[in-house]
Amino acid sequence: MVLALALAASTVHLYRTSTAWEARAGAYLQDARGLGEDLASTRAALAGTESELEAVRAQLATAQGRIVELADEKAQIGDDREVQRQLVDYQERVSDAAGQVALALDQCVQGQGELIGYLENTVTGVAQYDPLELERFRTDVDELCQTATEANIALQRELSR
Amino acid sequence: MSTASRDARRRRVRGPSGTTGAVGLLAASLLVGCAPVQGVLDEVPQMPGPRVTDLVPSEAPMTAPTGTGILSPDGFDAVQRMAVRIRNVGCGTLTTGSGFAIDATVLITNRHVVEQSDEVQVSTYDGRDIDVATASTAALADLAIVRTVEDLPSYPVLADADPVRGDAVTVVGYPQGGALTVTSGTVIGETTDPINENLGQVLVTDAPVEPGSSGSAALDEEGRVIGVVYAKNAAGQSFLVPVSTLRRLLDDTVAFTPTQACEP
Repeated sequence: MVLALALAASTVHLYRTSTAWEARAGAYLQDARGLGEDLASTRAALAGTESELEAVRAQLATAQGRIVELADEKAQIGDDREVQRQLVDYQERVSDAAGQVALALDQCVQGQGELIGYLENTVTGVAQYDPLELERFRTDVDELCQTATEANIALQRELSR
Repeated sequence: MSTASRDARRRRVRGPSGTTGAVGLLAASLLVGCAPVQGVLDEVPQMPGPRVTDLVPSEAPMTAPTGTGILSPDGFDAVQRMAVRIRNVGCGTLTTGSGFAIDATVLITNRHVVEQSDEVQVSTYDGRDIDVATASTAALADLAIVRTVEDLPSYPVLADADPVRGDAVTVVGYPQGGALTVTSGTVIGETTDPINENLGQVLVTDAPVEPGSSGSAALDEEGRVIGVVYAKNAAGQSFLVPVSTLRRLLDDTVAFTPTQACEP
């Protein structure tokens, strides 16, 4: 009798235990499915995010390349600007030199004109000049013309560079 | 869940229906004796314990970042940000070179990049112009210091020692006065200066450089300065003033003297 009771109690216990474990297994299976869905969803989101990240990285690389290009373009423009500025400075100096050479040559021509006038006056007897003064004037005109000629040669040489 | 923990839970958790089973087994134990009963009880299936709800780890595993370098907000790394382009506006001449910052307002370049200058102009990797305060050159090496009015974007550290043959080298500068360029190579060895601009030994590398690269920083794999590019030869080898020379001259307060303005 006792053995029958024990057997019956054990049967009930085992039934209830197995039922409880079955319910627990079902619950865990449900949890697992939910987690699996969450994982799949998260993986999809991660894949999307990684794809976006790659796109952003590509855009960043493009932007960086463009920044480098723009910096280079700006530098080249700056180089050109400085070259142009130096060219303008050079041309201003050449213009100044040309003006001075022209002035010197003009003074030379004027001096030679005056000298010719003095010599004509002396030859025709219109006027008489001190020969020493006339010689000194001729020397001054020669020196002035020589200086102007040398300056002109230097200018021509500079312009031909 | 391990077998041990499952067993522990089975032993720890006893429900009301477990009591019923225990009664039956207790009766059985009276028939067969006490010693084997404990073993039998351990093998009897028990009711499940409290349901586990923390199935997801509270701390998710983190993946280490794969990116390298110290990035600025604009994405440029420190190697690029420390490089500067130098324009030497001379008297009737214009030359360009490279340089790199070693401090917030101090940059290093070659002597021949900044000498005979009417004005030295500096621009950064992103095209910003940086006003120059002073320029000084060294007599014993092809090195110069340029001090700026504004802060430079970034500056590296100097290596503690010169590199040895076979060490990797990265050169960052503005070859031909063009765009910012990073090239790589290895240290080939040491030699005496082929153009007699420096006292002592100089480094030889196979990192490609061009005119305009003069003053570029040569970096090791950790981004530390190991030398300053100052020349190249017909075989395509580049020559560096070693960092030991740079350090020695920087420590010498009278090694650098202000540059002389060019004569028009």
